[in-house]
Amino acid sequence: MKAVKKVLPIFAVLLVIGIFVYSVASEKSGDVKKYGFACGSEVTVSVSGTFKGEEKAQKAIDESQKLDKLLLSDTLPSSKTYQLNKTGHLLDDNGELVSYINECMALTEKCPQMTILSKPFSIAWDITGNGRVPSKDEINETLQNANPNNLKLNGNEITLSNGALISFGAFGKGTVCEKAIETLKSENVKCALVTVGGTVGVLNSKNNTTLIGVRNPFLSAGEYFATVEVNNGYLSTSGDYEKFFEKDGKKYCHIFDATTGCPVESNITSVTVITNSGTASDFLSTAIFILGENGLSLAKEMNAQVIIVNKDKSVIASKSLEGNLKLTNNDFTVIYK
Amino acid sequence: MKQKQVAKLTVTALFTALSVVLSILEGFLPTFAVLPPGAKPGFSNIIVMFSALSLGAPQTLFIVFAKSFFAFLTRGVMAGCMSLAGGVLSSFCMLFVFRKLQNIGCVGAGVLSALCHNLGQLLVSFITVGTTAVFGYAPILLVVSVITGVITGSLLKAFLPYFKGLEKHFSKEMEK
Amino acid sequence: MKKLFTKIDLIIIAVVLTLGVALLLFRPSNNGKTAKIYVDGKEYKTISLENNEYLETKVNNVVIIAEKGEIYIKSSTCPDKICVGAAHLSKKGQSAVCVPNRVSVEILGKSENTPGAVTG
Repeated sequence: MKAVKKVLPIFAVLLVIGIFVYSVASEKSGDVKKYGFACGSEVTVSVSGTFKGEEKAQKAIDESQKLDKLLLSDTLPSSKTYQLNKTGHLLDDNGELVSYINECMALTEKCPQMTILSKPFSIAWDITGNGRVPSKDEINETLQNANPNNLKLNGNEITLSNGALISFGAFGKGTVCEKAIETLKSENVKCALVTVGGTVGVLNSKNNTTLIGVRNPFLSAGEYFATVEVNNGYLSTSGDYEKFFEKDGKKYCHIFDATTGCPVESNITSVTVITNSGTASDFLSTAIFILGENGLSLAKEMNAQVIIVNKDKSVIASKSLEGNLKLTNNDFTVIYK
Repeated sequence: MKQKQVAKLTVTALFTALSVVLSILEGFLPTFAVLPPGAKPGFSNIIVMFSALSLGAPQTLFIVFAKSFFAFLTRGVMAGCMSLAGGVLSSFCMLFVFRKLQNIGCVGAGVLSALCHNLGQLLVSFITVGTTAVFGYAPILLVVSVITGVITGSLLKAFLPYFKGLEKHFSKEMEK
Repeated sequence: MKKLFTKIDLIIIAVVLTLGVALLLFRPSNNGKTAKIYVDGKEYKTISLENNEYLETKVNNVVIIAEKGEIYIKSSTCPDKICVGAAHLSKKGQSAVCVPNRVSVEILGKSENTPGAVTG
């Protein structure tokens, strides 16, 4: 026991030093970052200063990949959505697809130019391939396919008829991003950053914010023209600069107006939405791309902030962003509405 | 003479088993985010230290090889190599220190032993991964070595009388 | 019998601790000169851009070139080639991804004024 008495004070000092060093090391060792793929995009999960950060980040990656693979994807055979599209009928055992469909339809009710039955449009216009301009008859057929009456929900039974096909392309990235953030929250993570392609999810404790760059649609990915500080929330962007095709001198983007069956044509090149729901941010970025400035009232109603970038580099942003949005490129001018 | 050798053999065998058991128990401890994966308190170092101190070089190396072999069998090639590198480096260090630096204390020996063990593991990581990124762990490992070294050194001091008694006990048993 | 704690022990501990803490505090943090290539979400290779050497990496049908302190995707078998059109990476936090081939390149490090992520 004499040995213990001698060692104890030394050990106590060492412990204090150890704790100090550990906290410095946690900070300096930087974020833990994990990678994955979901919704046709790269997923990154960055976690700061958390015990067992690597495991937690990996879990978030796994959960987001799982959600895409088993529920949301319309291209992977393992997904319920794919199976539903294939046979036109699904008995949704745990009701998760039913509730997700309901969640999305509650959103599309606010904007009739959007629908979850958009897949026939993508197919007719060959968006995943080289792109083509369908005939008027073909377009009319897709409009019939996309008729909301073609989708029937009866308890846990989902039925599609008349060539209806579901695609969550305008919602999925936001939902998957939110799934990752929620997974991290359930693991007691206080500070994290998730990206699913261009959709960003931010998690912070009360008084902290993360600086997020707003993509410059005229330059390549990673280039930004402005920054915002975000405490907690999701940022989604819809634009015409990544998936598009050109035919006979005309540019066609991949965002469809469900009432015309054709890609949207406007002066807008990108819309970024910031709000506290992943799915809603993804939905709104597409909705406002279609609605333009008229969509600003919808955003306000849903407690979301918007940044609209026009083809002439003029920018319209929500009034609540004034003071937060900072331009880093002089080619752009901002008006707050 | 022969009895002492047999006693030594018995103790070596005993310690090999003990060393393996300690490795298993350590395997159940959680890993910390800041430390490299696999960094552990190294309780089996106590065995290595005592062996280097009282049993001798061949016995010490035998225990280290046996422990590494066990790690290889249960946790794979990487674990085996790391255990071997760490154990061998630590053994040589202990053997050298106990011969040349006679007035080193148990705590100092513990720290050096932990240091060498971690260094050996780091070198194996470096050779495997091929980039110098692993040396980013060096600073924190240095500090951790001190903490674990103090613990294992103190434990060595506490158990020394019992360890020494073992050898004497086996010698006496032989005489009977 | 051996002693528990002697003067030599104190010297050893002091030296090791000082070395460790010193290394930690004065470690040169990522100066935008280390890039990592990830394949299928896992680290594949780490490349130093410091010596401006030319280095070609080919993985999963994607060719990545490191030269003159920059790194970029030179070619890829993907249909859209968004990754090939991306800018050359030279600053901390910048990245380029080829989703169809599941390859991404990133320059490590984070500085105070750089955004944690970019939308888009």
